[in-house]
Amino acid sequence: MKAWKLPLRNLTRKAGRTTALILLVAFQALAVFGGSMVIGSLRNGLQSLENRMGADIIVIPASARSRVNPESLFLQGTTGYFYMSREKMDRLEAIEGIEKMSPQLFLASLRASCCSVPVQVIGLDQETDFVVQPWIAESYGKRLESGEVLVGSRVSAGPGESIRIYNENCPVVGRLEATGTGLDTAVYCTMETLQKLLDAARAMGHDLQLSGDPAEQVSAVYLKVRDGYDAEKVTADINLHVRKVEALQTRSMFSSVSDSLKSVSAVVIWLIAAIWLLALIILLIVFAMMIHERKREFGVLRLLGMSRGMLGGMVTGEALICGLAGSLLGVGLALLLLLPFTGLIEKSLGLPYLLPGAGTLLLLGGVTVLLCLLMSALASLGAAARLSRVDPGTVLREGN
Amino acid sequence: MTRKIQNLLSAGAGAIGLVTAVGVKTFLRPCVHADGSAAPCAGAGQLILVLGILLALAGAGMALARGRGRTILAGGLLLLSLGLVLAPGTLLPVCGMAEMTCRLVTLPAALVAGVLAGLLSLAALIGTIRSR
Repeated sequence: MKAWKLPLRNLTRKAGRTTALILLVAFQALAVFGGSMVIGSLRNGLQSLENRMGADIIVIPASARSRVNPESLFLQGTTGYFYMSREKMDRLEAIEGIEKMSPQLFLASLRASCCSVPVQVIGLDQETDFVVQPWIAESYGKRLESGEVLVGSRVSAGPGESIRIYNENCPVVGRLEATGTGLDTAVYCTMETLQKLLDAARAMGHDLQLSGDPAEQVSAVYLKVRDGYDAEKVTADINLHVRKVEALQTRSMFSSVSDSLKSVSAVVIWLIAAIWLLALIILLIVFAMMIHERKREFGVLRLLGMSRGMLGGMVTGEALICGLAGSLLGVGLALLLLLPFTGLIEKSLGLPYLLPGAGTLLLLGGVTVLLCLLMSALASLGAAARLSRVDPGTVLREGN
Repeated sequence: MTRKIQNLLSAGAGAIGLVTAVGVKTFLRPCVHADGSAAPCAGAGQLILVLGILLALAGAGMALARGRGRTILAGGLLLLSLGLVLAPGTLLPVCGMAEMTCRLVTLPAALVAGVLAGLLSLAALIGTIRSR
């Protein structure tokens, strides 16, 4: 008989006990793999957000905060719009330490034809834009023409289709790479296109609280601070010298996301640790009880010629088979439960959430399986050591 | 595989169907427009409800069925589970935008329920075929 066949037969003969052991290991694997996947996705999301947000400071109208939370708007994709005069950009130019400056114009659709939730429409100044342009270059690589739009990865309409916003048909020319942030649910177009959409919205009777010519309005100005200047000081200068605007430092927005990420990660890590400790204790107890229950069986096997080492190997083999089956089941269950619910998790956490690539997931799964195998082997080692002290004669006489 | 285990497996698949059917009317409800009009995912929601009820009935029926009927019922359970996986998005449309409730909750829940019920049904089907 091959070495692995006896442990396998022992396991199939006691189906209930084996199922319980496999489920216990599966629970451990689910906790480790699932938890690591969530933490990894959150870190990936934050990294992606930092890479995408090339600006150091965002300037918005001072009244904007009363309409929408700017952090939610820029990081989580909450829709909103507010406007200020383009003249503010002239004032900003007078502030020392600003290297680049680019305006954006916002509009929230009420109900786009592609879907039934409002989408944020963002107008870009392609001549000056340094925030979205590198991202567009990766996914589209051309200049946007008037009337054309690019969509985030989570907007349903794709290239070749068109999206209808305020009765205006806008052809979709490309889809941007996923970032795991609210930027994925937005629609991007040129300033001219957005000005047309603003006119269309006003023609439909929507009160955008926009006074004057849309061409003279901007919603936000993105600033890049010159090397050697302190972004915090430039932010303070803007807030002090430019009236009716609020300058937000992007790093402080990231730090609030980063703090939330740290707290979520800490909770997940403590949960995983508690589950593993509990599972290890249960496994140790189960193996100890199993050895006690099977003393006579081991006694007979010893009398039939099995050495102590062979008996220990058989018990470890049983543990490893359970560990392998349980860990594969746990990893599979985690993938089945977490992959389809990515959108819901992202929405519930309110944090940037971007799943790691297939390679990383494979590596994570492999490490989880190895960890579970190691723990199963460790739990069975104690039992195997106790077996080496079993005297077959005494055990069989005890039974009589 | 004993008959008892086959019954347990099919009862598990039936229970998943029942939870899905109840869920699609409560906590897994697809989208409803604010004006009360039907969202594009309404049909998919109805199909999930029907499939869930049929799964529950077929799962319970396994306890009463004999001989070849058990294999047919187990096969039916597997097909219904497959239907649950394909109902939203493939057989019938769901809303386009990724932020919609049907895309966030109903579709993934039907997928997970379908895969789990499918695995249980497959095991029950193999069991009934081997025991014949």
